[in-house]
Amino acid sequence: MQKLKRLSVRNCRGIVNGPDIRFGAGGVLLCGDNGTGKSSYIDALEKVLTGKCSSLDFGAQGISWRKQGCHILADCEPEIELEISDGNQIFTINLESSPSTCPNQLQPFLQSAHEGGFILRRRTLLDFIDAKPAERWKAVETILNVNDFREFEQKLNNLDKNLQTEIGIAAESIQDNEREIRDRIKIDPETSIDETSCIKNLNEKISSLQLTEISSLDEIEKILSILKLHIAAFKDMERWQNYIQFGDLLRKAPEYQDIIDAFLSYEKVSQDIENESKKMVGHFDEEVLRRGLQWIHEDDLENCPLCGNQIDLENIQKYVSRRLEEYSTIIQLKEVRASIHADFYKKIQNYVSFLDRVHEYIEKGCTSSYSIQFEDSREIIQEISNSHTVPQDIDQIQKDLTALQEQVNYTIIPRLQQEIKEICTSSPDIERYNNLYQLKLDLQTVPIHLKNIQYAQRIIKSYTDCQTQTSQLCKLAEKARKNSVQYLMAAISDTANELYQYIHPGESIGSPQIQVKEKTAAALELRSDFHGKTGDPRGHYSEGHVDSLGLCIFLAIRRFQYQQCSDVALLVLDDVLHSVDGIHRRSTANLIFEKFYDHQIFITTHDPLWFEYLKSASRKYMQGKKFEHYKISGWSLETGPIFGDHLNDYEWLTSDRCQKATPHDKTIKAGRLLEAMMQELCHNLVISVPFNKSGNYTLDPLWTSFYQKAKKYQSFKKEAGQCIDNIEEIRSLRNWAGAHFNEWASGITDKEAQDFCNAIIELRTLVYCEICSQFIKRINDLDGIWACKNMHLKYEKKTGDKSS
Amino acid sequence: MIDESPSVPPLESEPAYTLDDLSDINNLAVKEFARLLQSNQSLAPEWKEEILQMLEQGVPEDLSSLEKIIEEAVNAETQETERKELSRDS
Repeated sequence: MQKLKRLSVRNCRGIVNGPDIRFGAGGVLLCGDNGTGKSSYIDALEKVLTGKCSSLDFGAQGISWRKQGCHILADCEPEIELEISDGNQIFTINLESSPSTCPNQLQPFLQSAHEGGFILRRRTLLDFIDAKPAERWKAVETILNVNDFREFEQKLNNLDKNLQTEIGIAAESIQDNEREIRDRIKIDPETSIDETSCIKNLNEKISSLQLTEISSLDEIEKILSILKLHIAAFKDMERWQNYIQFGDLLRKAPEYQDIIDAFLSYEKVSQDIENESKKMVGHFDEEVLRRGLQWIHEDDLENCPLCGNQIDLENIQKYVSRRLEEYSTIIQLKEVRASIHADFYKKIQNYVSFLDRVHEYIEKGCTSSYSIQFEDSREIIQEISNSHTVPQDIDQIQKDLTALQEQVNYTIIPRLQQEIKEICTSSPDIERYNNLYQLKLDLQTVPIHLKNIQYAQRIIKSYTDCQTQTSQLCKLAEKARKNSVQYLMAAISDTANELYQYIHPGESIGSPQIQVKEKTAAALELRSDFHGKTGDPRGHYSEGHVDSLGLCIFLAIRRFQYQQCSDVALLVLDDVLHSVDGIHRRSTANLIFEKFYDHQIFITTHDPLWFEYLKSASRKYMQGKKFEHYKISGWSLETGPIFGDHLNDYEWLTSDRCQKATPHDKTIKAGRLLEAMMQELCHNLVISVPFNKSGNYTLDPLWTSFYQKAKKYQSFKKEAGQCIDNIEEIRSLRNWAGAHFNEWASGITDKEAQDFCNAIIELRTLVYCEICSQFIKRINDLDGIWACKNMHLKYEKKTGDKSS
Repeated sequence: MIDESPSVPPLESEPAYTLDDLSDINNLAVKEFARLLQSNQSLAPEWKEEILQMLEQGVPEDLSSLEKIIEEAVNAETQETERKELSRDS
């Protein structure tokens, strides 16, 4: 079973450079005021174990690990190292590690850790209670991991949708074919399209041409052969049709003068731009300015990628606006020129297309006149058109356009128009020919469209039959998934209630019911009891009850998840209780350690009293597994969290650093060590301390109670009497020095500070066993003696003997 | 320890599942799907048979056998159309 050993964090969130957190086999308890970096450790742990940080990567705009994961003053990326032991070996992972690349022994652990579900923050807890049913499902689904079945369900849905699409395509095909028939043989929209209606309208056309009507589609072949004979009587009709179409084209020839006018406008505005540019100094590129500014906005850049200088967005905006204002005349002229250029290009393209079509009719042999001159002119216009993007030689283009106007517009086109007009006057009865020809097409195509319609109708029937089946499968699969989740939720609800009743016995509240909603695909409703009534817990519950309800649901899910996969035996609770009162806080502490003794537990809290309860409960339930306790005594932006645990301060006081430190610093550290020692000793020796509502027990009441008790404890007094008297005499130094600099503190001499330090170090040697790594405790079974676990330090109550 | 009850209370008189069943939600969904299919009277027998067979292996990964049923149904309809046309032409 993998256990966390040490967490080292640098430049991450509220942490600058540690201190490291060492995990006991049982876990870690971390206490500190709000805003002192507790959650930063949880963020770091989550990031290194799961690859994400749910307090940042929850989809809010502008908030992400990438942007806010780093310490605000740091100029480099966060560094996180986590030591994990598998019982034989210690492995170190960091932000680069992933389940696929880590050592084999760690892979199952890290893969399961990546699924998450072992960290609970207060916000997550409240979000679950406050969430809309669909969001609540989403929150649970990631933990329950019903993805495989949902993927299968999705495939079924896709199959169903594909069938619906096929049905839609066939229906569209029917509509298209019906429209073709209606357009071709003029069947009105109210009349349905079938063989009868088609024959009726075809017969109208047939009879108008004095041909024999048909009575069924089978007779179409017969009438088509008659039609062929009629059409054959019109000789060379294709050639005649070409003449008529060519005549139409020539009549609708575009105005050449429009091209000339557009070009002259272009030439004029180009000249204006040139004149305006001569007035300006330096180079100006409007596009560079506009796009550069847009780019800075879009990429949210803080430094210029070219020179590395910091970007002053406000000044850049002002500069760009000023430059654009200075050059506004040229900008406007350029816009006008671009518009004229587009117009010119459109007109010349239109003319090229016209000439291309004329060319086609010449190729078909409609005329042999002027073909050489025409092709020369067409080639030149095409060249002008091809050079449209930037007209290079304006004079040449103008010369060509003018010459071509003379040749094409005044000569070739008018003469062709005249020639074709004369030819067309001698054409045969083209109208009858067209009617016969159209009827032939109608008779050929209407049966095909009808056949397409009938085919699509059969396809629709076939797909609809299948889709009836897939639609039922989709509904059944969704119901199966929802039922399964409901079975699971019922089990989780029962467990959650069991846990809830542990904290709130006999209070007539609880029985949380997490229910899958019937009407939506994925949504969970949360209901619970309140004195005989069932409803949304937020309706009746106090904030404290809601807190513990959310916690119990999470713990029930964690328990279930652990039963599914025991690779990760880790429970992390980040300051989850805010509004829970004393008795319930104690029950909650007991609950966590009694029910999760098989997990390694990491709990942070801002509440010193709950911290004490947690310490006590961990000793009681965790079967002798070691717990590390840390108290954060201070935090600043520059230093990050400062741990106030006695070991850190003791090591400092006995090191060279203390010798070189100022009297003020020595006094502060010694005072803090004394306070930490007193907290441990008053707790361990069961010394009564005046009650403090906030649960924050400071040095004065702790020391006074301890000192009075110690003076009455003869054997301890014999050994430590002188030492504690010294401390009693000079401990006011600590108050003078206070937590921060003040004027009185500046008067403390180095000797005074060192005496204070020495007295506290001496006391520590008398009450803390280095071998057992613990302070002395009152042992009730041995007549209340004060001793360490293995009796290395022992103070008898009456004899006055101390053995060590 | 918690969660030591032998089974989850059944929903609306549905069959109970054991804690073992609950330990794998995907397989639980497969079992429940099979149960719902078996009690369903309106699905076509060939569809029901096919999907039940697919579920025997756990969560199905592909639906090609269902796609095949659809393809065959469409082909049968197309061939029927062609057969009718041929008989009419002759």
